[in-house]
Amino acid sequence: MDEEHWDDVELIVRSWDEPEAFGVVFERHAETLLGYFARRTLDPEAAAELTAETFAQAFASRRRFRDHGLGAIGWLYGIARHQLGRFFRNGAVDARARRRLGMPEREVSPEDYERIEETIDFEQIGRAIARAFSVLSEEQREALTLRVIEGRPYREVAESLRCSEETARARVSRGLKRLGTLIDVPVGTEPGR
Amino acid sequence: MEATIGYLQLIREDLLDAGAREGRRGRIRPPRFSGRTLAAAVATVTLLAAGSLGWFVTRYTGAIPASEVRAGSTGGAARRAVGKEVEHYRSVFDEQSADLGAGDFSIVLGPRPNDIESNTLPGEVSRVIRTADLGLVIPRGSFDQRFADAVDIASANDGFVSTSTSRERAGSLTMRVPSDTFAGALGSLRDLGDVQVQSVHGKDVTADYVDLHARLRIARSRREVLLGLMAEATTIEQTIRVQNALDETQLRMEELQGNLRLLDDRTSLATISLDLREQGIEPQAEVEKPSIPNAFERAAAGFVGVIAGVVIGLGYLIPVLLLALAAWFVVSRVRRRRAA
Repeated sequence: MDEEHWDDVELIVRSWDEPEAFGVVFERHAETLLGYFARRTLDPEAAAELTAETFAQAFASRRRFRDHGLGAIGWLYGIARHQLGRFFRNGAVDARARRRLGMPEREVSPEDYERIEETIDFEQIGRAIARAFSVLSEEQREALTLRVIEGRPYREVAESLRCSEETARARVSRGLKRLGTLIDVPVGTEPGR
Repeated sequence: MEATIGYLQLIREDLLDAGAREGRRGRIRPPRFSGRTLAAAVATVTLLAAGSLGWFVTRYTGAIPASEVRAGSTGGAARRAVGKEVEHYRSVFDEQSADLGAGDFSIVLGPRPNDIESNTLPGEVSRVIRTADLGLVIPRGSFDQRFADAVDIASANDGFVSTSTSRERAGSLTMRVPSDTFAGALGSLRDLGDVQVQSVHGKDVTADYVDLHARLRIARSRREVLLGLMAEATTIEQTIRVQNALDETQLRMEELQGNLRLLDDRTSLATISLDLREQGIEPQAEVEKPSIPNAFERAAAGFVGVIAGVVIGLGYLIPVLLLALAAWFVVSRVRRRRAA
């Protein structure tokens, strides 16, 4: 089929009148995008839903697509970053675009769940976390160990660290933020960046 | 390439189904403009509409105070504004010109005078310089007759025309009339046509007059003393020194007398500048020499004027837009409910 030879921009423009052309774009980038979400959320279900919502959003707004030099992939990952941000802020995957398009809710089967997990290189992530953890300050390491790894309440964390609860919370919060920054790069690079 | 994860295959099919449903509802043409372009266009149109509305409002509803309308302006709007104000000031003028013995007074088109300064000295020493500017529009074809009438009015009031110029169906003249007949002359001139511009000024120079007289008196006394000294001088050196002082005093006296004569002339004869033009003839625009400070001033005034116009326009537009938005919101909700 000729569509296989077209680039993404041509396919998206063509999909304005022939929606099936969008299917080729989906086939080309869906798995990569799924891996991108999986490495960032470490949650196969959320990653699958985010992928679906991103493509639904892209499909719904494909007529507004303009190539500003980043190509279709840049546009797609722009939507993906937006969805990911909403997911981290709200703690849930948005479903508005899928609802608008009348798409049914889909369950992630156990086989798919495993396959998605396989795209997450936990070993690499573990190494990255260990590396990042060692870079943190002594206070932040202790606070994170007590709160996140051992799961102790803040009152006990504060007693162990001999500081106020507010200070303990601040150390955990700052430590997590720093950890997030440090492990972002080695865990995976997003295409189109 | 086929998606190897079942979930993704399902999503792909769902998307294509959504596309097929969209196709059944009818193909939607891609929008010609992006959202940003549309928003920019709407903002531009709104600002232009606000600016135009602001300009219209300030020009035709008198939102700009009359004090900002210069008398004698060549603009049509200015003339209209002046026309409204003239009626008010005419009544004020009538009251004040009935007693021209008063001190400084000023009737100008613009800010209404809160207080008319008066430092009049009693009796015959009161001296006031009176001037008036009058702009009249007269009926077509009557210029020559009205011009001649104006000259007659000057003569009838014991005055004279000092300068006059005329062009096609328009002209101006400056006349001097005795202060006593100033009010009468001005009233007669006003009857020659429709008053478009009128300003009357009175400057009290009594203090200057008294001061000049006092200095003259002192100079005369000094001269008397010097003349006495001259008579008693015994040496050439003394004579020369007294003569120099006497010359100096004489010169000073002549200067003072000259100033007094000038004041006498200007206070005993009032000056009326009259502009006559037939209907349909535009007043001659003053040719302004271009200059950088003037250009900056005009640029700043233009800048502020445009911003003010837009702000005024927005004041009118925003409530209308809000109402339209509310109406749209209600209609869309009703439609949605009906559709549901």
